[in-house]
Amino acid sequence: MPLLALQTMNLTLLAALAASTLGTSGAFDQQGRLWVAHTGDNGIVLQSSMDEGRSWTPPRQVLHKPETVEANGEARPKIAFGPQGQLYLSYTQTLGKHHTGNIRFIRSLDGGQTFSPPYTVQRDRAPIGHRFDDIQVDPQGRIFLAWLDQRDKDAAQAAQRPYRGIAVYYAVSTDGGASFGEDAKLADHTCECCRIATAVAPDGRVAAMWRHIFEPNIRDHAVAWLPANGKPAAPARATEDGWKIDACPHHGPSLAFDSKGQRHQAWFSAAGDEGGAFYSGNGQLMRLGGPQAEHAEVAAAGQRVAVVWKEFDGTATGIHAQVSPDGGASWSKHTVATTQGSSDHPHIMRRGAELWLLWRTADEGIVVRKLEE
Amino acid sequence: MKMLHPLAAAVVATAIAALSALAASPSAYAAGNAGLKAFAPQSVEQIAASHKGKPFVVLVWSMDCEFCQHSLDVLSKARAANPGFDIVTITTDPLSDAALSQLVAKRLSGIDLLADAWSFGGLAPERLRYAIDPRWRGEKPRSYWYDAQGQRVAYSGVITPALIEKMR
Repeated sequence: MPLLALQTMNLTLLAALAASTLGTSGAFDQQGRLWVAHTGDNGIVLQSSMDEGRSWTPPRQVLHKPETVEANGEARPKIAFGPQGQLYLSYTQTLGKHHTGNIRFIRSLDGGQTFSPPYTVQRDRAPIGHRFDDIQVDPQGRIFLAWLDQRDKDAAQAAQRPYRGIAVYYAVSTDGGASFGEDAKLADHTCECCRIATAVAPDGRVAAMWRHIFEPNIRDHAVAWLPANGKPAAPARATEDGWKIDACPHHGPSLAFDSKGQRHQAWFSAAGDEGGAFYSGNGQLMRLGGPQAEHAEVAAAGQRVAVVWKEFDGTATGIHAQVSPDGGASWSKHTVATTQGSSDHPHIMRRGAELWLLWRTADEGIVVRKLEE
Repeated sequence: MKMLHPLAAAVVATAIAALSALAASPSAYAAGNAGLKAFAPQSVEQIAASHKGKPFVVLVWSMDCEFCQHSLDVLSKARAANPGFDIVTITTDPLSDAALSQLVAKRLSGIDLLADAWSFGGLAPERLRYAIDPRWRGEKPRSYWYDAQGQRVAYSGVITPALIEKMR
C-alpha cells in the first residue's frame, strides 16, 4: 500500500473521530461565566453560558487553522484562567500515526474575543507521543502544563534497553503563556493511556498524580510536586492496590487539595478482580459505588469536597456524587443526573466556594448541576 | 452524535475506496460493514450458542490498545498451529465509524480473524460492556475462555502463548 494513502487515511480517521467525540471540559471565569471547550470538525469549539448552562453562546472555532485535536475518553482540550482573566487552552494535536501528538497552547487576553495562534509547547519535536496534557495556573499566574511523553521509551528501545511505559514531562510559563520554558521530566515509567491529574495546593505548589508502572508491571499511582525550576524530587506512591496487569486501563486518576492542604484523590483499580473506583482523603479510603463505577473525579473548594463518578446500572448511566462540607469527615450521597445513551466522563468545576458537575451526553447535551450536601 | 463534515466524509469515502481496491481480498470488504458484525446485548448468547460444545476464546480489543495488537497476533498464530481453536473478536471501536471500521477489518483480515468478528453497535458503550460482563470495567485486552460446557473464565491483560496454554 502506498504510504501516502495510509497517512491520508489516518489523518482523515483522526479527524472523523475528533468530530464525533463527546469529550468536553469546562471552567468558570472570575465573573461567573461558564466556558466549555470540545472538539469540532476543525479543531476546538468554545461556548460560554451566563446562566449556569441553561443557555449557551453559539459554538465558535478558536483555532485559526484546522487541526485534529485529541478528545477521546481520557483526553480533551483543557481550559484554565490566569489571575487577570486570561483564558488559556491546552490540547493535544494528533499527528498522522497512532499515539503521536504535540502539546499545543493558545490564549485569549480579551475575555475570549480573540485568540493567539496556537504553538507547540514541548521542545522535543520528534513525531512521537506527547499526549494527555493537563494545565494548572498557580497563584503567581505561572502556567504549568504536564503531559505523557514517549521519548525515553524510544531512546531505550534504540539502545535495546527495557523501559516500562512512557514518562511524564512538564513545562512552565512565567510570562502568561507568551512562551513556555524547557521540558522537565517529572518521572519515568508511567502508564501509556491514562490521563494525568494536576491540582494546586493552598501553599501555591502544583502537584500531579498519574497511573505509574511500578516494577514489574504494577499499575498503581504516583504523585509528585512540579517545581517551577524544573527540578522535581522523586515521586511518591499514591495508591497501594498492587494491580499487576499488562493492559490499557484507559482510566486515569483525579487529585484535589482542600484549604487545609489535605490531599484528596480518586482512582480506578481492578487488583485481585475486586475492582472499581476508589476515593481516599482525610485518612479514609472508600469504594465509590458498585463494580461498574468508573471515571471518578474529585474537587475541593475550601473544606467542601465533592467526588463524582459514572456508573451504569444495567438500565441507565448515572452520575453519582458524594459531597462533604467538612474536608471529607462526613458525606452525603446523591444521584445527580442520568442518561440512556452515550456520555463523556463527568467533570467538576469550581466557582468560588461552589462545586459544579459538567457532563456532556449524546441525548441531553451539556448537563450542568450544582453539587451540594 | 456523529457529525462528519461533508468534505471530510468525501475524503473518507475516497480513502476507503483506495483501501478496498488495494486490499488483498476485496470481497471481504464488499459488505457495508466490511465483514464486521454489529455487537448488541443479545450477541453474547448468540456467540456462545454458535460455538456450543467446543472450547473457544472471545477477545475484546480496540485499535488504540497496544497490548491488544500483540494479543491478536499471538491468538492468530496459535490458531494457525491448532486449526480447531476458535477465536471470536469484539472490538469496542464503534461500527458506526466507517473509517475506523475499515481499519479494524483490514487488521483482522490480515491475520485471518475476520470470519467471526464483532464491532460495538449503536448502543452506549457501557451498555454493551455490561452485556459482555457486568464485572468488566473496560480495561483491554479482556478475554473470555469458554470450555466445551459453555463455562467461561475472564482474563484481563495481554495474551501470550503461555496464557493460551494455561487457559485452553
